[in-house]
Amino acid sequence: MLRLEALSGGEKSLASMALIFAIQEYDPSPFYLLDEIDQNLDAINAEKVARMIRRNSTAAQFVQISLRKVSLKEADHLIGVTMTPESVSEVIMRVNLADIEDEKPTEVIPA
Amino acid sequence: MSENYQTVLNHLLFHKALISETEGGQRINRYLSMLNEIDQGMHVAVRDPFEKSVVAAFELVLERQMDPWEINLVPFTKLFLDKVKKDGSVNFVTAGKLVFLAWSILKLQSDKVLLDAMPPEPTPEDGGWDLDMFRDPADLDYNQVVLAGTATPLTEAIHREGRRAVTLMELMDAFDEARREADIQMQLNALREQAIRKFAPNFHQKVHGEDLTEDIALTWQRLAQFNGEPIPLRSLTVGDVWDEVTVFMSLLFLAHLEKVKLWQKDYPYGEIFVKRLSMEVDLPMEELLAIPVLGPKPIGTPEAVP
Repeated sequence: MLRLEALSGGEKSLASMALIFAIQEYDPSPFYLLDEIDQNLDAINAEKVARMIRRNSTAAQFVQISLRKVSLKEADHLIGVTMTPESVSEVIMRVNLADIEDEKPTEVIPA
Repeated sequence: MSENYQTVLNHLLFHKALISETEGGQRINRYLSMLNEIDQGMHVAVRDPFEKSVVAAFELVLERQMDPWEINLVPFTKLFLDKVKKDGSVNFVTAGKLVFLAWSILKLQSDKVLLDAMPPEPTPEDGGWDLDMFRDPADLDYNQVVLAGTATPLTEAIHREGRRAVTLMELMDAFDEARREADIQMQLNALREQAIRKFAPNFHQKVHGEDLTEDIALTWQRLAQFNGEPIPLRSLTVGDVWDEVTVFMSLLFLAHLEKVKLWQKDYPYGEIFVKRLSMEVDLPMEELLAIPVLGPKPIGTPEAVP
Protein backbone atom coordinates (compact mmCIF):
# COMPACT_ATOMS: atom_id res chain seq x y z
CA MET A 1 0.00 0.00 0.00
CA LEU A 2 1.69 3.20 -1.14
CA ARG A 3 -0.93 5.94 -1.17
CA LEU A 4 -3.01 7.04 1.81
CA GLU A 5 -5.79 8.14 -0.54
CA ALA A 6 -6.57 4.48 -1.10
CA LEU A 7 -7.59 4.06 2.56
CA SER A 8 -11.09 4.59 3.87
CA GLY A 9 -11.76 7.17 6.60
CA GLY A 10 -11.70 4.53 9.31
CA GLU A 11 -8.51 2.97 7.97
CA LYS A 12 -6.85 6.38 7.87
CA SER A 13 -7.88 6.94 11.49
CA LEU A 14 -6.51 3.58 12.57
CA ALA A 15 -3.26 4.01 10.62
CA SER A 16 -2.63 7.50 11.99
CA MET A 17 -3.46 6.43 15.54
CA ALA A 18 -1.15 3.45 15.23
CA LEU A 19 1.66 5.76 14.12
CA ILE A 20 1.02 8.29 16.90
CA PHE A 21 0.77 5.66 19.61
CA ALA A 22 3.88 3.93 18.32
CA ILE A 23 5.78 7.20 18.62
CA GLN A 24 4.32 7.77 22.08
CA GLU A 25 5.29 4.24 23.06
CA TYR A 26 8.89 5.23 22.40
CA ASP A 27 8.62 8.67 23.98
CA PRO A 28 5.56 8.63 26.28
CA SER A 29 3.57 11.67 27.33
CA PRO A 30 1.92 11.99 30.72
CA PHE A 31 -1.29 13.42 29.25
CA TYR A 32 -3.27 12.84 26.05
CA LEU A 33 -6.22 14.77 24.63
CA LEU A 34 -8.04 12.82 21.91
CA ASP A 35 -10.73 14.65 19.96
CA GLU A 36 -13.30 12.36 18.32
CA ILE A 37 -10.70 9.91 17.08
CA ASP A 38 -13.36 7.22 16.87
CA GLN A 39 -15.75 9.20 14.69
CA ASN A 40 -14.97 7.28 11.51
CA LEU A 41 -14.59 3.88 13.10
CA ASP A 42 -17.14 1.11 13.15
CA ALA A 43 -18.20 -0.23 16.54
CA ILE A 44 -15.74 -3.13 16.50
CA ASN A 45 -12.68 -0.97 15.82
CA ALA A 46 -13.94 1.83 18.08
CA GLU A 47 -14.10 -0.68 20.91
CA LYS A 48 -10.60 -1.97 20.12
CA VAL A 49 -9.23 1.57 20.26
CA ALA A 50 -11.15 2.27 23.47
CA ARG A 51 -9.68 -0.85 25.08
CA MET A 52 -6.20 0.10 23.98
CA ILE A 53 -6.65 3.52 25.58
CA ARG A 54 -7.99 1.82 28.66
CA ARG A 55 -4.86 -0.36 28.85
CA ASN A 56 -2.57 2.62 28.39
CA SER A 57 -4.46 4.68 30.97
CA THR A 58 -2.48 3.00 33.72
CA ALA A 59 0.62 4.91 32.59
CA ALA A 60 -0.87 8.19 31.37
CA GLN A 61 -3.98 10.30 31.64
CA PHE A 62 -6.37 10.31 28.70
CA VAL A 63 -9.08 12.87 28.03
CA GLN A 64 -11.15 11.73 25.08
CA ILE A 65 -13.94 13.63 23.37
CA SER A 66 -16.33 11.08 21.96
CA LEU A 67 -19.96 10.41 21.13
CA ARG A 68 -19.48 6.65 20.84
CA LYS A 69 -20.95 4.54 23.60
CA VAL A 70 -18.35 1.81 23.07
CA SER A 71 -15.66 4.38 23.90
CA LEU A 72 -17.51 6.01 26.80
CA LYS A 73 -18.15 2.59 28.33
CA GLU A 74 -14.41 2.12 28.91
CA ALA A 75 -13.96 5.48 30.65
CA ASP A 76 -13.41 5.98 34.36
CA HIS A 77 -15.34 9.24 34.44
CA LEU A 78 -17.86 10.85 32.11
CA ILE A 79 -18.05 14.59 31.69
CA GLY A 80 -21.13 15.66 29.78
CA VAL A 81 -21.17 19.03 28.08
CA THR A 82 -24.18 20.27 26.18
CA MET A 83 -24.92 23.64 24.64
CA THR A 84 -28.35 25.13 25.14
CA PRO A 85 -29.83 27.48 22.51
CA GLU A 86 -28.91 30.38 24.84
CA SER A 87 -25.28 29.38 24.24
CA VAL A 88 -24.83 28.41 27.87
CA SER A 89 -22.97 25.17 28.40
CA GLU A 90 -24.30 22.67 30.89
CA VAL A 91 -21.62 20.50 32.43
CA ILE A 92 -22.34 17.37 34.40
CA MET A 93 -19.92 14.73 35.58
CA ARG A 94 -20.47 11.10 36.37
CA VAL A 95 -17.42 9.96 38.30
CA ASN A 96 -16.15 6.44 38.89
CA LEU A 97 -18.11 4.80 36.12
CA ALA A 98 -16.14 1.63 36.73
CA ASP A 99 -17.80 1.29 40.14
CA ILE A 100 -21.10 0.42 38.52
CA GLU A 101 -21.48 -3.32 38.59
CA ASP A 102 -21.74 -4.57 35.05
CA GLU A 103 -24.48 -7.07 35.65
CA LYS A 104 -28.07 -7.56 34.69
CA PRO A 105 -30.40 -5.40 36.77
CA THR A 106 -32.71 -7.00 39.27
CA GLU A 107 -35.23 -4.22 38.86
CA VAL A 108 -36.06 -3.34 35.30
CA ILE A 109 -37.55 0.01 34.47
CA PRO A 110 -40.37 -0.57 32.03
CA ALA A 111 -39.35 1.06 28.78
CA MET B 1 36.45 49.23 -2.70
CA SER B 2 35.04 50.70 -5.91
CA GLU B 3 38.44 52.30 -6.76
CA ASN B 4 40.24 49.00 -6.25
CA TYR B 5 37.61 47.29 -8.31
CA GLN B 6 38.02 49.80 -11.14
CA THR B 7 41.84 49.54 -10.97
CA VAL B 8 41.74 45.74 -11.24
CA LEU B 9 39.21 45.92 -14.05
CA ASN B 10 41.30 48.40 -16.06
CA HIS B 11 44.42 46.32 -15.49
CA LEU B 12 42.75 43.17 -16.77
CA LEU B 13 41.25 44.93 -19.79
CA PHE B 14 44.64 46.43 -20.64
CA HIS B 15 46.36 43.04 -20.58
CA LYS B 16 43.54 41.46 -22.51
CA ALA B 17 44.01 44.01 -25.25
CA LEU B 18 47.76 43.21 -25.40
CA ILE B 19 47.62 39.43 -25.65
CA SER B 20 46.21 37.36 -28.44
CA GLU B 21 43.02 35.26 -28.26
CA THR B 22 44.84 32.19 -27.06
CA GLU B 23 44.80 30.32 -23.81
CA GLY B 24 45.97 33.47 -22.08
CA GLY B 25 42.87 35.27 -23.34
CA GLN B 26 40.64 32.66 -21.83
CA ARG B 27 42.40 33.05 -18.52
CA ILE B 28 41.88 36.79 -18.57
CA ASN B 29 38.21 36.21 -19.40
CA ARG B 30 37.91 33.94 -16.37
CA TYR B 31 39.46 36.63 -14.19
CA LEU B 32 36.98 39.15 -15.56
CA SER B 33 34.01 36.87 -14.81
CA MET B 34 35.36 36.37 -11.29
CA LEU B 35 35.54 40.13 -10.93
CA ASN B 36 31.91 40.40 -12.02
CA GLU B 37 30.91 37.87 -9.35
CA ILE B 38 32.65 39.75 -6.57
CA ASP B 39 29.42 41.53 -5.70
CA GLN B 40 27.87 38.15 -4.96
CA GLY B 41 30.63 37.28 -2.53
CA MET B 42 31.71 34.27 -4.59
CA HIS B 43 35.40 35.06 -4.50
CA VAL B 44 35.86 36.66 -1.13
CA ALA B 45 39.21 35.84 0.35
CA VAL B 46 38.78 34.27 3.76
CA ARG B 47 41.83 34.61 5.95
CA ASP B 48 40.64 33.49 9.37
CA PRO B 49 41.61 29.79 9.79
CA PHE B 50 38.31 28.85 11.41
CA GLU B 51 36.23 30.57 8.74
CA LYS B 52 38.46 29.11 6.05
CA SER B 53 37.84 25.59 7.35
CA VAL B 54 34.07 26.13 7.41
CA VAL B 55 34.13 27.51 3.87
CA ALA B 56 36.24 24.56 2.76
CA ALA B 57 33.73 22.11 4.24
CA PHE B 58 30.81 23.86 2.57
CA GLU B 59 32.56 24.14 -0.78
CA LEU B 60 33.50 20.49 -0.61
CA VAL B 61 29.81 19.56 -0.48
CA LEU B 62 28.85 21.99 -3.22
CA GLU B 63 31.68 21.39 -5.67
CA ARG B 64 32.07 17.64 -5.22
CA GLN B 65 28.27 17.16 -5.42
CA MET B 66 28.20 15.19 -2.20
CA ASP B 67 24.93 14.26 -0.52
CA PRO B 68 23.87 17.57 1.10
CA TRP B 69 22.33 15.66 4.02
CA GLU B 70 25.80 14.36 4.87
CA ILE B 71 26.66 17.77 6.34
CA ASN B 72 24.89 19.08 9.44
CA LEU B 73 24.70 22.86 9.31
CA VAL B 74 23.57 23.29 12.90
CA PRO B 75 26.96 22.68 14.60
CA PHE B 76 28.66 25.03 12.11
CA THR B 77 26.10 27.73 12.90
CA LYS B 78 26.62 27.29 16.63
CA LEU B 79 30.40 27.37 16.27
CA PHE B 80 30.26 30.51 14.14
CA LEU B 81 27.90 32.23 16.60
CA ASP B 82 30.18 31.30 19.50
CA LYS B 83 33.12 32.74 17.62
CA VAL B 84 31.28 35.97 16.88
CA LYS B 85 30.29 36.30 20.53
CA LYS B 86 33.83 35.59 21.64
CA ASP B 87 35.53 37.96 19.18
CA GLY B 88 32.98 40.73 19.59
CA SER B 89 33.23 41.72 15.93
CA VAL B 90 31.72 40.41 12.73
CA ASN B 91 33.26 40.41 9.28
CA PHE B 92 30.08 40.85 7.32
CA VAL B 93 31.70 40.00 3.99
CA THR B 94 32.87 36.63 5.30
CA ALA B 95 29.64 36.09 7.19
CA GLY B 96 27.71 36.80 4.00
CA LYS B 97 29.79 34.29 2.08
CA LEU B 98 29.16 31.65 4.76
CA VAL B 99 25.45 32.39 4.78
CA PHE B 100 25.37 32.11 1.00
CA LEU B 101 27.16 28.76 1.08
CA ALA B 102 24.93 27.46 3.87
CA TRP B 103 21.86 28.59 1.94
CA SER B 104 23.13 26.74 -1.14
CA ILE B 105 23.45 23.54 0.89
CA LEU B 106 20.00 23.99 2.40
CA LYS B 107 18.61 24.46 -1.11
CA LEU B 108 20.25 21.20 -2.17
CA GLN B 109 18.81 19.47 0.88
CA SER B 110 15.27 20.69 0.16
CA ASP B 111 15.62 19.75 -3.52
CA LYS B 112 16.63 16.27 -2.48
CA VAL B 113 13.65 15.99 -0.11
CA LEU B 114 11.29 17.06 -2.87
CA LEU B 115 12.84 14.58 -5.25
CA ASP B 116 12.51 11.76 -2.73
CA ALA B 117 8.90 12.67 -2.02
CA MET B 118 7.87 12.31 -5.64
CA PRO B 119 5.85 9.15 -6.27
CA PRO B 120 7.85 6.52 -8.08
CA GLU B 121 7.40 6.31 -11.81
CA PRO B 122 5.16 3.38 -12.66
CA THR B 123 7.12 0.60 -14.15
CA PRO B 124 5.80 -0.84 -17.40
CA GLU B 125 4.97 -4.15 -15.82
CA ASP B 126 2.72 -2.40 -13.24
CA GLY B 127 0.95 -0.35 -15.86
CA GLY B 128 -2.04 -2.53 -16.53
CA TRP B 129 -3.17 -5.92 -17.54
CA ASP B 130 -0.97 -8.32 -19.26
CA LEU B 131 -2.82 -9.15 -22.46
CA ASP B 132 -1.27 -12.56 -22.29
CA MET B 133 -3.96 -13.43 -19.76
CA PHE B 134 -6.33 -13.91 -22.69
CA ARG B 135 -4.38 -16.90 -23.84
CA ASP B 136 -5.65 -20.40 -23.56
CA PRO B 137 -7.05 -20.66 -20.00
CA ALA B 138 -5.24 -23.92 -19.53
CA ASP B 139 -1.90 -22.10 -19.83
CA LEU B 140 -2.93 -19.25 -17.56
CA ASP B 141 -1.94 -18.93 -13.93
CA TYR B 142 -4.99 -16.91 -12.97
CA ASN B 143 -3.89 -16.29 -9.38
CA GLN B 144 -0.60 -14.91 -10.57
CA VAL B 145 -2.34 -12.57 -13.02
CA VAL B 146 -4.71 -11.27 -10.34
CA LEU B 147 -1.91 -10.75 -7.83
CA ALA B 148 0.29 -8.97 -10.37
CA GLY B 149 -2.49 -6.84 -11.89
CA THR B 150 -3.99 -3.58 -10.65
CA ALA B 151 -7.68 -4.43 -10.86
CA THR B 152 -9.90 -7.44 -10.90
CA PRO B 153 -11.20 -8.29 -14.36
CA LEU B 154 -14.97 -8.17 -14.48
CA THR B 155 -16.66 -10.43 -16.94
CA GLU B 156 -20.39 -10.50 -17.34
CA ALA B 157 -21.87 -13.83 -16.47
CA ILE B 158 -23.91 -14.86 -19.51
CA HIS B 159 -25.50 -18.23 -19.05
CA ARG B 160 -27.27 -18.32 -22.37
CA GLU B 161 -27.21 -16.06 -25.40
CA GLY B 162 -30.84 -16.63 -26.40
CA ARG B 163 -30.41 -17.36 -30.06
CA ARG B 164 -32.99 -20.16 -29.98
CA ALA B 165 -35.88 -21.32 -27.86
CA VAL B 166 -35.14 -22.88 -24.48
CA THR B 167 -35.65 -26.59 -24.30
CA LEU B 168 -37.42 -28.21 -21.37
CA MET B 169 -34.23 -29.96 -20.30
CA GLU B 170 -32.29 -26.68 -20.30
CA LEU B 171 -35.01 -25.13 -18.16
CA MET B 172 -34.89 -28.00 -15.68
CA ASP B 173 -31.08 -27.83 -15.60
CA ALA B 174 -31.28 -24.10 -14.92
CA PHE B 175 -33.66 -24.68 -12.00
CA ASP B 176 -31.34 -27.35 -10.65
CA GLU B 177 -28.36 -25.05 -10.96
CA ALA B 178 -30.22 -22.22 -9.24
CA ARG B 179 -31.21 -24.57 -6.41
CA ARG B 180 -27.62 -25.73 -6.01
CA GLU B 181 -26.38 -22.11 -5.89
CA ALA B 182 -29.05 -21.24 -3.30
CA ASP B 183 -28.03 -24.25 -1.19
CA ILE B 184 -24.37 -23.21 -1.33
CA GLN B 185 -25.30 -19.66 -0.37
CA MET B 186 -27.33 -20.86 2.60
CA GLN B 187 -24.46 -23.06 3.75
CA LEU B 188 -22.08 -20.12 3.44
CA ASN B 189 -24.42 -17.91 5.45
CA ALA B 190 -24.69 -20.57 8.13
CA LEU B 191 -20.90 -20.92 8.28
CA ARG B 192 -20.52 -17.15 8.47
CA GLU B 193 -22.98 -16.90 11.34
CA GLN B 194 -21.25 -19.79 13.08
CA ALA B 195 -17.88 -18.06 12.75
CA ILE B 196 -19.33 -14.79 14.05
CA ARG B 197 -20.85 -16.58 17.04
CA LYS B 198 -17.50 -18.24 17.75
CA PHE B 199 -15.08 -15.34 17.22
CA ALA B 200 -17.24 -12.24 17.86
CA PRO B 201 -20.29 -13.30 19.85
CA ASN B 202 -21.65 -9.78 20.29
CA PHE B 203 -20.88 -8.69 16.71
CA HIS B 204 -24.47 -7.81 15.76
CA GLN B 205 -25.09 -6.02 19.03
CA LYS B 206 -21.99 -3.91 18.50
CA VAL B 207 -22.66 -3.11 14.89
CA HIS B 208 -26.31 -2.25 15.31
CA GLY B 209 -26.32 -1.23 18.96
CA GLU B 210 -25.45 2.44 18.50
CA ASP B 211 -28.70 3.92 17.30
CA LEU B 212 -28.76 7.30 19.01
CA THR B 213 -32.34 7.99 17.94
CA GLU B 214 -33.50 4.76 19.57
CA ASP B 215 -31.50 5.52 22.73
CA ILE B 216 -33.02 8.97 23.06
CA ALA B 217 -36.53 7.66 22.48
CA LEU B 218 -35.95 4.97 25.12
CA THR B 219 -34.64 7.48 27.64
CA TRP B 220 -37.56 9.79 26.93
CA GLN B 221 -40.01 6.96 27.54
CA ARG B 222 -38.40 6.34 30.91
CA LEU B 223 -38.57 10.04 31.73
CA ALA B 224 -42.21 10.21 30.71
CA GLN B 225 -43.10 7.88 33.59
CA PHE B 226 -42.30 10.65 36.04
CA ASN B 227 -44.57 13.60 36.52
CA GLY B 228 -42.12 16.34 35.62
CA GLU B 229 -40.55 16.80 39.01
CA PRO B 230 -36.73 16.82 39.19
CA ILE B 231 -35.40 13.29 39.56
CA PRO B 232 -31.90 11.89 40.06
CA LEU B 233 -30.26 10.55 36.90
CA ARG B 234 -29.69 7.19 38.53
CA SER B 235 -33.49 6.74 38.67
CA LEU B 236 -33.42 6.39 34.89
CA THR B 237 -30.74 3.73 34.70
CA VAL B 238 -30.89 0.03 35.33
CA GLY B 239 -27.50 -0.42 36.89
CA ASP B 240 -25.04 -1.47 34.21
CA VAL B 241 -22.39 0.65 32.57
CA TRP B 242 -23.81 0.37 29.05
CA ASP B 243 -27.21 1.61 30.19
CA GLU B 244 -25.62 4.37 32.29
CA VAL B 245 -23.71 5.61 29.23
CA THR B 246 -26.81 5.35 27.04
CA VAL B 247 -28.95 7.42 29.40
CA PHE B 248 -26.16 9.90 30.11
CA MET B 249 -25.55 10.66 26.44
CA SER B 250 -29.25 10.69 25.53
CA LEU B 251 -29.92 13.26 28.24
CA LEU B 252 -27.23 15.53 26.79
CA PHE B 253 -29.00 15.50 23.43
CA LEU B 254 -32.38 16.01 25.11
CA ALA B 255 -30.96 19.00 26.98
CA HIS B 256 -29.70 20.38 23.68
CA LEU B 257 -33.22 19.95 22.24
CA GLU B 258 -34.58 21.81 25.34
CA LYS B 259 -36.63 18.80 26.33
CA VAL B 260 -34.96 18.43 29.73
CA LYS B 261 -32.89 20.49 32.12
CA LEU B 262 -29.78 18.94 33.61
CA TRP B 263 -27.87 20.13 36.61
CA GLN B 264 -25.58 18.78 39.27
CA LYS B 265 -25.16 19.67 42.90
CA ASP B 266 -21.68 19.62 44.40
CA TYR B 267 -19.82 19.13 41.13
CA PRO B 268 -18.22 16.71 40.37
CA TYR B 269 -19.35 14.13 42.94
CA GLY B 270 -22.87 15.35 43.59
CA GLU B 271 -26.13 13.92 42.36
CA ILE B 272 -27.15 14.73 38.80
CA PHE B 273 -30.77 15.84 38.45
CA VAL B 274 -33.05 15.77 35.44
CA LYS B 275 -36.24 17.74 34.93
CA ARG B 276 -38.61 17.35 32.02
CA LEU B 277 -39.32 20.61 30.28
CA SER B 278 -41.69 19.15 27.71
CA MET B 279 -44.79 17.19 28.62
CA GLU B 280 -45.01 15.30 25.33
CA VAL B 281 -45.39 11.55 25.77
CA ASP B 282 -43.45 10.76 22.59
CA LEU B 283 -40.84 12.92 20.95
CA PRO B 284 -41.80 14.20 17.48
CA MET B 285 -40.40 11.92 14.79
CA GLU B 286 -38.86 14.83 12.85
CA GLU B 287 -36.80 15.81 15.90
CA LEU B 288 -35.59 12.24 16.36
CA LEU B 289 -34.73 11.89 12.70
CA ALA B 290 -32.72 15.13 12.83
CA ILE B 291 -30.33 13.50 15.28
CA PRO B 292 -27.35 12.37 13.26
CA VAL B 293 -26.19 8.79 12.95
CA LEU B 294 -23.01 7.89 14.80
CA GLY B 295 -20.12 5.94 13.37
CA PRO B 296 -18.77 5.86 9.82
CA LYS B 297 -20.94 7.94 7.57
CA PRO B 298 -20.76 9.53 4.13
CA ILE B 299 -19.38 13.05 3.74
CA GLY B 300 -21.96 15.80 4.10
CA THR B 301 -24.08 14.29 6.89
CA PRO B 302 -24.71 16.64 9.85
CA GLU B 303 -22.33 16.65 12.81
CA ALA B 304 -23.62 15.26 16.10
CA VAL B 305 -23.67 18.06 18.69
CA PRO B 306 -24.96 17.22 22.14
